[in-house]
Amino acid sequence: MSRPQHHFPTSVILRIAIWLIAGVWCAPILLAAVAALRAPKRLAMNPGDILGGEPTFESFIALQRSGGGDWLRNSLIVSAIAAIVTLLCSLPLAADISRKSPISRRLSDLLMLTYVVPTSFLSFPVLYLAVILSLRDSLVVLGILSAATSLPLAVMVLQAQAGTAAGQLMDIAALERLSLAQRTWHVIIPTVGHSVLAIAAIAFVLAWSEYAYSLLLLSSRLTLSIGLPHLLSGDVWRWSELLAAVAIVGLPALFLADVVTRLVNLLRLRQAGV
Amino acid sequence: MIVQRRARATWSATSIPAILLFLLTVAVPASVAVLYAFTGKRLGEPVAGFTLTNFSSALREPLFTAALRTSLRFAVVCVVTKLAIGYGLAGILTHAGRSATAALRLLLLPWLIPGSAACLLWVWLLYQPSGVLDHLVRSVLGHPSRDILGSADGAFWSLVAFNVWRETPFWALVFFASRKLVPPQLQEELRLAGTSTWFAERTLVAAYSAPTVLVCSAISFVWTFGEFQSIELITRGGPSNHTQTVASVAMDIGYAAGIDLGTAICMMLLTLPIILPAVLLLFVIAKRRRAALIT
Repeated sequence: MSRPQHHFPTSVILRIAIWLIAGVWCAPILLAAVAALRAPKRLAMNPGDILGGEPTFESFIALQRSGGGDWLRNSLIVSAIAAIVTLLCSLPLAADISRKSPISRRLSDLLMLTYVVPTSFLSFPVLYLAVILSLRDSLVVLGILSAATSLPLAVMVLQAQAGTAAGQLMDIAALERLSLAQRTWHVIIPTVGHSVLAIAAIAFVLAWSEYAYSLLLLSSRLTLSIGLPHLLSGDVWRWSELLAAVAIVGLPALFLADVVTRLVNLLRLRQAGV
Repeated sequence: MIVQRRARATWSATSIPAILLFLLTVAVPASVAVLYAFTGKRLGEPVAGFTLTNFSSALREPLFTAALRTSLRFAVVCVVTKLAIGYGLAGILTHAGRSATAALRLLLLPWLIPGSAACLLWVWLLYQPSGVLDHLVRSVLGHPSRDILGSADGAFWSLVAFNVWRETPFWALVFFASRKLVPPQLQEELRLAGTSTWFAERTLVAAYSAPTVLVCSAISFVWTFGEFQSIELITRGGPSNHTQTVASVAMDIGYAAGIDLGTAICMMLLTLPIILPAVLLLFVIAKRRRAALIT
């Protein structure tokens, strides 16, 4: 009598595999969060010795004294401005493209040229223009520049979602003589609401990682991108404060990861017609 | 007819914010950059006449040719690795079930933290003599430590590893989302025909994912080719300029060494004949494949 064969489900193997991969992939960040709880003096002597010693919050306090709180606040301001500007520019354009406006379709193709030109190429003339217009050290300008990076992606995502249904609704809205604000509020936003949140999250993330423009434009009002390297300059490298900063930014990153993942799942379900 | 014409005019007006943003942040700076390149302008000096001296300065710059080779090698290796791993991860996420999305949140962390934090985190890992890896090798494994960032190959592959670690999750997310473009009825037909999942992946999913993969390749190539932050923060172009890319050399010349913006911009302009054809080719192929799928 032969034994029954039990086939281990493939999905279970893949589930274990993806969790192992995810664990290894984010291990450096988790290690940093653990190491941030060590005493700064012990970390300064041996940065690689993660465990050992009593946990303490001295690193976080030292980071706040070094200006980490200001850097985080400035980064959040820039990212929020970038997200708002991206949405304000991309929503109407995406609605226009979905209505097959020829000008807007050409503009959408032109916007993709933004990705052909590296930021480092544009950063010098931007610096020159900022100096002439006395716009250096402006968080608003940095937010607007960061929005330009996420705009083409935003338009690509939104025009796929805006689609025919929104176009027909917009026709009805035009016949009903609704204002642009009313059409945006009652038609566009309900149709593409989830995509809007996803785009806002991505614009936020791209903005708070912006480095080249921040390096050239900001001198007194630093963001995280250019403030953190100061911790590893000079004779004494402040490892503890750096690791505390990584642990702190990991929290909003986890929240953003949750938002982006939920929205991607919703978009997948909508694309599947569920 | 009048309503349609009015509607069309209104629709065009709603594109004005996007047009303004594009003009102010891309078109105008790009035009100014070209002006600098052909007029030998320095910051604080008036515009000189038309000249090609900046181009000859850029080509004579000893680091330029080596930096160009490094940039190309870096971009190609990173893009191929990222897309291969990202595509594989997307496949695993698709077939692993619902709990996979929780794992996806962890996977996204490297991409979601600020770039500087990620770069300096790797400096902490690779720092010699007492970084995490060094401590692990000496204390736990008992081997003598090696200065990874101190050797040309070690520094280069560290940058590749960092770039792959940071950006692969984003591309995995894009591919994971794009897999829903595959029509469910076709998947069902393949399943009823008794074909394996692997066959469906190789044929149907690959065909429908191809346009997304191609567009992502193009964007990733440009971003990686112009990568400056990780080189500046992790290796500073070293050791002995072995990891300098065109972007980092241009930044050093344009910003740090007397604000010679003209030469710095010329260096970037000289890379456009390499970037543009590759990117445009990928976009055109992606558009054709998408059109073929629709028909």
